[in-house]
Amino acid sequence: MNLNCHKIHDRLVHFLNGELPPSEYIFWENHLSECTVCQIEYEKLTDTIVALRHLPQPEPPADLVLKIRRRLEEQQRRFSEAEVASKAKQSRLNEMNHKTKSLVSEANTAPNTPIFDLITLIFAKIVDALKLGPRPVYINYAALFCYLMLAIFLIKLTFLTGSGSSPQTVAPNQSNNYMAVNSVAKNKSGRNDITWAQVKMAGVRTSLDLANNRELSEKPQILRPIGSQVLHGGSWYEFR
Amino acid sequence: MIPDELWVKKAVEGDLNAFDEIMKRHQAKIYNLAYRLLGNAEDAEDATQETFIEAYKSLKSFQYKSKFSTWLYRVALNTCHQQIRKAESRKRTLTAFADNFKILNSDNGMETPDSVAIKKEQETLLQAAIDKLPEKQKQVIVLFYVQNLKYREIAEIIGCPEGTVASRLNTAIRNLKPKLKDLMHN
Repeated sequence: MNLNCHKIHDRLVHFLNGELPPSEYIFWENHLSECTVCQIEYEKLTDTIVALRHLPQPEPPADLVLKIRRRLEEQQRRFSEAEVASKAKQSRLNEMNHKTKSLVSEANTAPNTPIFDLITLIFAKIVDALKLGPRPVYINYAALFCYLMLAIFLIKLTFLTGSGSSPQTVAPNQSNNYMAVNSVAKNKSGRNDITWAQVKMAGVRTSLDLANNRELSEKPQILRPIGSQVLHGGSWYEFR
Repeated sequence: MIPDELWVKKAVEGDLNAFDEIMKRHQAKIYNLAYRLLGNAEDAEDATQETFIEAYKSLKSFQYKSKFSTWLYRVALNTCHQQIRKAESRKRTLTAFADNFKILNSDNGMETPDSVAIKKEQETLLQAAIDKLPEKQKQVIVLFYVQNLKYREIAEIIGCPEGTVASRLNTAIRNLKPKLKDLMHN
């Protein structure tokens, strides 16, 4: 065995596999006929390789193709069903979308739209933009709900403002022929707060400190009609 | 013989009969590959089924750049790889012992009950030794010696240079020898 034998052993498998160039075969045959170590290695490898080459080829089960075919058919059937269901769903969505668009279109073309129709239109547009695709009747319900909420809010604003306590009267209250003015001044923290009002009695303007109900000398900024109210210190004041 | 590619085109259009032809043509090779990589008939059948089902689903991705069989081998190797990772249940008991494999060389065609039994034992032993190889070495051994593919074809299937296939095969054979020896002594 010489140094070349190590290199030869590395290529012996490929020689046995027939994967070396034909030009190398003469060298191999010559070397193997001379080198006993390589001959032994050659025989050992040959045994292993021959054993591998002679491994039996197991036959697949006779019904293998049929089994696969059945699985494929089942998959195709499921796929078709899913496709049909998907198309039906898409069709329903399209129909709903069409109805929504019709509703929007009708609302757009209606002249002098009343407030309910306006709210319906806004909802329809939002739903259309978000592509939520609910049934159009839901839009009407939602709009009706908002309309009712708006009405309740307006009623409350008109009749039930403040804490519910009856307005207090701001002095002076000596005559019916004067009008009241009040002003809004900023307090030290920068918050708008009504601190004083100015009233005009018989053509003479007088400033009132609302907290202390006494006269001040500041000029008025906002005119208020008689009967209007201001909120001060958690209480409502009415000018008479 | 009608080339695979024609059947593939029909199968892509949904023709299951065309795919039947493909399966009939390749089932033995794929089953055999799976059998040698996985080591038992049950897993081999499962892997073969999965290979063809996966192949049918992915047929549209076949580019016609390589041979269809090369592409199918690739699908099969991936399927077997997944199966190997999943399956821990294919440990088999070895009962066979054999002195050497020279009987395979001296096969003269005269089958006696004894020689059949010895051959069966040797096959079991060899398969056990193959099972013990790392997966990549197992792949090249099976593809080269069992499937009779060339280095070039194996390189294309497993996606590496021919030189890598050659060195992997050399390592695999040299790893196989001591494993066989150990099994025989046990």
